[in-house]
Amino acid sequence: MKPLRKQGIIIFSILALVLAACGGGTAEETVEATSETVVETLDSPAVTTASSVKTGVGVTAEPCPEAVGGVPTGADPTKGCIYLGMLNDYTGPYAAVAPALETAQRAFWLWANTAGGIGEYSVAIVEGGDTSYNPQKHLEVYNSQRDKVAALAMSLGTPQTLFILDEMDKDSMVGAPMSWYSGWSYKSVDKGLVVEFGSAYCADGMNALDWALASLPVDIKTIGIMGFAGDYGNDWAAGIQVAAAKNGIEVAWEYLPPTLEFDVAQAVGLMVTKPVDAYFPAVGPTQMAQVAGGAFQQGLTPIAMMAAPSYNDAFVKEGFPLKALFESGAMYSMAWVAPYEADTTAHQTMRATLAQMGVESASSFLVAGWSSQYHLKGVLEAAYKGGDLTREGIRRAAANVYVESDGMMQTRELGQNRADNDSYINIPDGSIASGARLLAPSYVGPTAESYDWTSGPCA
Amino acid sequence: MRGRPNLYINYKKETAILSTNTQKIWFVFMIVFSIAMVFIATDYWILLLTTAFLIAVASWGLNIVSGFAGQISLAHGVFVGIGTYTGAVLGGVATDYVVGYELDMIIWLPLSGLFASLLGLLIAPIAVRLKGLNLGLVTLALVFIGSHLFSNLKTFTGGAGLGRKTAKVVLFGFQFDDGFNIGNVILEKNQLLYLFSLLVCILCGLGVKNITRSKTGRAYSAIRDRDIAAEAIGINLFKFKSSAFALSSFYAGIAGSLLFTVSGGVEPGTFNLLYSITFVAIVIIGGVGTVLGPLFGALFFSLLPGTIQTVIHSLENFGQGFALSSGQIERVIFGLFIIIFLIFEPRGLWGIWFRLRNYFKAWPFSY
Repeated sequence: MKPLRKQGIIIFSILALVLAACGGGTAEETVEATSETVVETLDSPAVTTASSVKTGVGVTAEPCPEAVGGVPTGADPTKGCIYLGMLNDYTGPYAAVAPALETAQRAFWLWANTAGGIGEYSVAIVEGGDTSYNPQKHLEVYNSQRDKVAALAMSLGTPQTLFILDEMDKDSMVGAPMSWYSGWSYKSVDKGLVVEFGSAYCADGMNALDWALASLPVDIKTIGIMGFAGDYGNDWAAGIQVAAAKNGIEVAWEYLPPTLEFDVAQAVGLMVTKPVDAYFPAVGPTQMAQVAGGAFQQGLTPIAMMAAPSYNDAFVKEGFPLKALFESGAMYSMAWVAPYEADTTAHQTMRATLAQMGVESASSFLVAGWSSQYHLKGVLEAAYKGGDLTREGIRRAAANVYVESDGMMQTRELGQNRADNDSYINIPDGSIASGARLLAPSYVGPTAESYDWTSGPCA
Repeated sequence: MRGRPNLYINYKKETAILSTNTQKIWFVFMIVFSIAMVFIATDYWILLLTTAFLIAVASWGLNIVSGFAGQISLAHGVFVGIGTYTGAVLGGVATDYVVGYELDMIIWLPLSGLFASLLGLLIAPIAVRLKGLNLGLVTLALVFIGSHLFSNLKTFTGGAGLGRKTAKVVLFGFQFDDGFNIGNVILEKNQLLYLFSLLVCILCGLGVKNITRSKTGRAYSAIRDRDIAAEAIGINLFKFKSSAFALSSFYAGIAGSLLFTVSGGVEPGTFNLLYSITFVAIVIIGGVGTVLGPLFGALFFSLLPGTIQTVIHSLENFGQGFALSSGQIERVIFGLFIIIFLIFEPRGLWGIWFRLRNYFKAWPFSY
């Protein structure tokens, strides 16, 4: 018994420790205050032009490194550097898309730096930290980066970002979220720190139902909602409930368990026992394929209006068993921005930069990564123009500034306590590289149109 | 008896916590060195060392029940979790979805240990009836029960995937967050937590050493070596197995309540099977049934990843375009180290220390 027990412990120990993830920090940066002559770059009403630039943590007079994580920064060696943090998920549920998000963000700043940077500064994202989509690790990674960066290029996940908000508040750390929670548009929730971009799940939910009722040749009377509680599911469900009430649609069921407890069998069971005309999933791609496939096996193919994170272009790639189902015309996906192939200046720039880097994918997560940085760039430009690149200066700039995105999203005035209300509606299509064909650009349904967006977050 | 350190003329001296002058000098030197680290080490290393001290405390707990008393426990992480959430509820801030009473650390720290200890006592009756792999399986079941409860008692833990903030570190009204000024030197929260963890680590370490030289410690050893024989010579198995579990859980609770205040937040998924197994590994790597072993193991476990990271970062462009990221390389190296250790030094790090010490003791006649 004893040797067996010992062997068992040894084998367990080896397995456990080989798997044990241990985070670490990146090299320290020296921070120096500099005084620079301002170059006018942004026509913003929010700030006044100052004659010198005050800098703080995460902004150096020394140039940015030539490359970070193997990706060139495109930094000008004669300019200073603004460092941005990155809280990414390399080992959790979004591990599959983390590289695309990161590549697009680094590509964005490669382009932005080449195009002139932020006045006398280039921008570099530090080496990404792995949060595993876990709030606790998110906080640990944030702690390891907080003394090195001026702002966050990405904070992935709604509950994760909410978890570090108090610390961000203490540090006056502004950051771009990789989540579309309606609360990001309201100071009562984000304390003016989260630089949101695109419409929230709530508006997407309203538009999804309105558009389905108006545009699909199916008589929708009853619907079901599924998603992750505490995460984007609540915001999405709140939007759909508002639209359902307005349109007199019956919500037959709502399945919103915590992310880790989402049970595919239970979700499919609901679809079988309480059949609906359309269902609205806000889950991960893995659960989406399992739920859609499971329902299909039971002979059910109701209309599915998928929230952005539910859809993956892999669903319509050759060889995927459910390709025909996803292309059957019963499935639609929501987004806050047009797919990869769209014809805006921003999309063209993105494609050219990624092609230059040798990226061959057309994933929607590349578009997500790229689009996430525009508003942050606008905020940094405003802070520079205001002569204050300290974190407090950046926070002030984020509280009241017009930001634009070369046509990718609506021009937006940040800090106005009002969320965007337009959505992009796509249909899965394997003949297009991004796997999504745009059906309705910048769609605003009657519910989202009449909803009082100044009333605060939906959930 | 100068010059003859191994000659004891009375039992009291032989069983003293620090029985030789060399030990006393080393002890004082290590404390001074550890305090000095506050002013020398970077924030990153301070963080790792603080974690190491607290993990050492938790590992001592496991070593008491498994190393000294020979009762296998795979659920040690659950008791760490119980300590964490007791501390978080009593000392944390209430929000819309979790409770928190913002009490002083002087209240929540001992209560975290005591509450974990109480729950440890609850499984003691099982421990008395079972042993070996069977006991291991029961404690394994405890991991799953614990995980489920942690994930679902949302009012206390925040729930799976969401988590909650830990206790605010306030001692006698003094907020660690505010920092502390000594002349021109400002000690920040991390540094204060480091010093406090060091103090807790020293006290708990002395406590463990004290157990080994007491009647209780000898009873544990007897039970470990042969429980039937122990019972035959009059050792009350129920009493001592229960006390081993209670004491072990107390250490886990104390460590748990402080461990996550370093980062400030905790998510229930942390306290899974892997987490509990980590403590088993630390005790084995450090040296089972020794006093210094778990400390060595905890330092090894906490500091090696940092060391590997530093080496990887110092090698410029290392790993660029390589299939593995620096984090993955770190994990592979870490795993390899453990395998090498287990094959070549099964007595753990303490075994190496023991041979090294004997080599110098016997010098110049070492062999």
